[in-house]
Amino acid sequence: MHHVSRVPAPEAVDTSGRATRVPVLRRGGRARTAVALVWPTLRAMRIVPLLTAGLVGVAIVIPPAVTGSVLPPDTHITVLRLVMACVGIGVTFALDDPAKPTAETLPVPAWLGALIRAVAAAAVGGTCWVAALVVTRSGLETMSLPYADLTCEAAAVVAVAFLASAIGWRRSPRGIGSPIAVSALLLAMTVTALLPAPVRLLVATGDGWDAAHDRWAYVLAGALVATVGVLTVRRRRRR
Amino acid sequence: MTAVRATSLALRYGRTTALEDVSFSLRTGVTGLLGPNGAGKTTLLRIVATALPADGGTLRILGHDPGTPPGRLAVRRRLGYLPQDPGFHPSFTAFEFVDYVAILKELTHRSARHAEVARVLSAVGLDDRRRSRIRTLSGGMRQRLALAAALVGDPDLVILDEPTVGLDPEQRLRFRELIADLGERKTVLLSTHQTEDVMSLCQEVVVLDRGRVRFEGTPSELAGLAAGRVWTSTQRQAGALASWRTGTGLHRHVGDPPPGAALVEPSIEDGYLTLVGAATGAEAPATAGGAR
Amino acid sequence: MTATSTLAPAPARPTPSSTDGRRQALLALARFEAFRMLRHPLTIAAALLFLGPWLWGWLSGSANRYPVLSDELIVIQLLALPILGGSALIVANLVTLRAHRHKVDASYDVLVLPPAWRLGGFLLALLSLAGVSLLLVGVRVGVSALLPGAVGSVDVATLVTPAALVLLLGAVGVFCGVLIRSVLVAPLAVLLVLVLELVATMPSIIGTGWRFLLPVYASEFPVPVPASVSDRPAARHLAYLVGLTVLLVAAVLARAAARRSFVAAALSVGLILAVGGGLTQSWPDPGMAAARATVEDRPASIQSCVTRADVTYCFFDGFGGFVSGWDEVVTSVRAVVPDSAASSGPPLAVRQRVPLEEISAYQTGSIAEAVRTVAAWKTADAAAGTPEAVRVGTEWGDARASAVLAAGVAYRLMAGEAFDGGFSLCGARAALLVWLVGQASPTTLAGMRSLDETSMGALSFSDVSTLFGISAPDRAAAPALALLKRPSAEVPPLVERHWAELTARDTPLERFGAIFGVPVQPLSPEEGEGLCTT
Repeated sequence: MHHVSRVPAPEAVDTSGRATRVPVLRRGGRARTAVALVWPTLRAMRIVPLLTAGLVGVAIVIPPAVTGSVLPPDTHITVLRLVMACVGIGVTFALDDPAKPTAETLPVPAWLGALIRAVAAAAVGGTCWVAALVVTRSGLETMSLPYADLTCEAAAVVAVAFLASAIGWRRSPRGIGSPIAVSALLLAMTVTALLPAPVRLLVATGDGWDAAHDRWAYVLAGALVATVGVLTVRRRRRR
Repeated sequence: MTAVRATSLALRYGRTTALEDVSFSLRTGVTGLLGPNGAGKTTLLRIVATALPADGGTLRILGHDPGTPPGRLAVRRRLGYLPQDPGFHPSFTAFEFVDYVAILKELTHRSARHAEVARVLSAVGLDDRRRSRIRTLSGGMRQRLALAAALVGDPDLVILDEPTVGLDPEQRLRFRELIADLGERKTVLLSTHQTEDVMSLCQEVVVLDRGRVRFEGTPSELAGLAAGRVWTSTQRQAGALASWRTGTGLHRHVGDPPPGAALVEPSIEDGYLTLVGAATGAEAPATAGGAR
Repeated sequence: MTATSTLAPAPARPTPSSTDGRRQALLALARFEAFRMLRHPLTIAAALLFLGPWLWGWLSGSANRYPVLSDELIVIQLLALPILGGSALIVANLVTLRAHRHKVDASYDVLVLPPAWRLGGFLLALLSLAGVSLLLVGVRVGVSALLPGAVGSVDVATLVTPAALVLLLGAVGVFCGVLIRSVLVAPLAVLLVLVLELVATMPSIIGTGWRFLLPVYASEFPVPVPASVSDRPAARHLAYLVGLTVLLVAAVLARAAARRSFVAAALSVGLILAVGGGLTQSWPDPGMAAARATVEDRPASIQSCVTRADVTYCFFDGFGGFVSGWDEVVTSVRAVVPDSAASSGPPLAVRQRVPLEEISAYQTGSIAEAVRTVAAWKTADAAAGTPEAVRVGTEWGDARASAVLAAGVAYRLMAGEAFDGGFSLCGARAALLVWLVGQASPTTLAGMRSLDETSMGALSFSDVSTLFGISAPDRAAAPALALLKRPSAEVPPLVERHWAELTARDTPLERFGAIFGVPVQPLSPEEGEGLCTT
């Protein structure tokens, strides 16, 4: 610090100390703020874990496709479910924000940043998912897999992962929620795998498929609603 | 003008009482918040900074109620907060980080915002490091960067949680200059362990202990609490509240002086020690000079 | 601060010899970390998830009271790998990354205990997780083994395998933490472990020797098999897993710059175990083919038999626990046939059979082939002194298996001979058989209903281990199922009176309908009666 650190009034002095007029600070509307936020938020976001996890997911579907092995459709479905799990694990890092202590008292609400991150996570995760589907479809006898239903499952997994990320972000004072979120997601997956028959989610093609995918749709909707809640509801005042 | 008025604020975490019946008001100028570790200073700052809702009591900040979403938004638009443990995005440059915070403060006009960011970075002396990535900055630089993020957007209320931690003596002096200057126009609430900071900067002091306000007044009034209770001698004295050998070779004592002791002028530290060191939770808060 | 504080002189510091002190510090650290790992939420959750469904099975009464212990241990290791092993991997990884995540590595780096020793402490602490896994597995297997209907024996190597898997994955977690400082790696590693498990259970892998290099073993048979024909190389696989773990430990310590001699020792021990165990476990067992042929074609030569009342039960070594269950079903079926029929034909016998070849290769053999196989079995049975023995499989305990055996016994009593495979039953005989099975006991009725739900066109009394089972077309099963809803007092006298007519080969289904007054669906012109066994 070589010069006197006075705080110049914003409209009077510029950085070099010359008395010039800089534009008066104006606050923009929410839309303008959102637009301005996009790039820095994307830079602040931990996209590398998501990308890594997504690529691992794509890597999982490659061996059956390139070796030309004919797997039963249910095995392909299991493999694609592992891809979803990979993408989900990547998504749990989406809301990690070490600047949370600074950001939490700023006028722009947390959900706006989270929304930008959600869109980015959906784009990256979605790309990986589509890549996995394309690879799978290029294999033998995989044209008629129920890709739409599987995509619904994938969306639900990613929504739950984002919810876990939001809970982790909320619970961590330093804004690094991924350790909690990943663990929570893996636990949720294990519980899902152990669900008893009447409410089973990981079903094979056949009788229970449609009913199970109704349940997947509920999981998706529930996770989205819960995420909105976690990101917007403030700790309640006790009276 | 009263920027903050708090009446009977309370906060509990489960069975632990963090704050109880906390009342104070802040005017333009610098107010110091003193208190031992765990007194509830950070909790109180987080409540005033709208990061945490209180369980009870009323709070008006800059004429708004932070308990309602519109009130909170209005407060946040005029607020600068330096958390005790600010975090950063290590891959950002110093400029980018403050710029990011400025966007989050709804400063969307690009050139004006950049000028503002440059202004605060220059004010905290980070002009030459604005293009450096945060992961390359030292602890003191990061502390100044966080301060810049708090000051960006020219807030009317500035809340600083232990801002001088990690600063070297010169930086601390520069920082005092900065805050004193800010205090001429704005309301500044400063939590610190440094009694010299309070002495040299603050027009008002609030002492918080075990979640309660134990003192509210001027720094000299706080020092005055120890009047007649500070003395020097050539030996250690077991009965005193605190007793230590100073650089002059004499021992300085705070407590009940023995008859004929060589009394000396108390410092703000002595007042603080008298207040907090002797405190037993049941005592009523000491208020000096009708400052409330 | 209520009184002046002075600095009391520090207590004399114990100064043990350097290695001794380190060793003690290592053990203390391992104890400390072990405690933290054990009370980690993920560890607790994994233990609950591992035991929860099993406990629920016991509480809800759906647990199998006739477990085959060797098979149960296969299932347990398949469960333990993702649940217990996965949690160990993540917990170990988080412990390894803790200092980095909380940014205290700088202060740790100057501590007396060097990094390699600290990592050694983490690795040692994994033993606690392995211990808990052993305990959990022990509880599950122990409770099963205590059941009177339990079958087979517990091999120590298979019992310890889940704990070894936990240790291995824990070491993977530490290794990942040392290699890449991100919490992302561990969950992805868990997913890759799941991929390996999926690969292990793929039919195309099961045929190869490669499958033993995977961490878990999946049986090539969908049902339990006698110990003599199981190809699970438990002890050698355990050595392989331990070897892999030791190799990982060597890698971790090498990375942390541990003493060279120590790393080299660990490396060589690990290599010997991993390569030795890994290679030898896939060596073909020269006696296996002969043993399998014996089990499939000439089981009498290796089976033991017991007689309950006037019924002989023959079973493979270790499967004696099933006899009381079989006897219950046989008795209940004999109770619902007329007294004259209850001992028709040669003395009643039940023999355990497992068509290894047919069920292993996922083949769908022709009916003619099946008939030939069954004819050979019949000849063998006659030679062994149990002519016309009813066949029973290697799985027991669920209602479906009871229904399948009940159908076999009912056919034997109706026809005076064992079912000889081939086409489905037709006419009144088929309906009577369905009624007998349903009438015998609530369990056989429930099992039959369950079989009915999963079969199309015909009610098929067969599960995987009893290929060549009896089946009755839906058209014949429907009137019998309707009849089962009648009050139980009305029907048995009619059955007794018309027994000879109902069990005759050529009595049409319509006659069954007429005797009992139940509606019979007319034969649709396009399907015809179909092929019936004669």
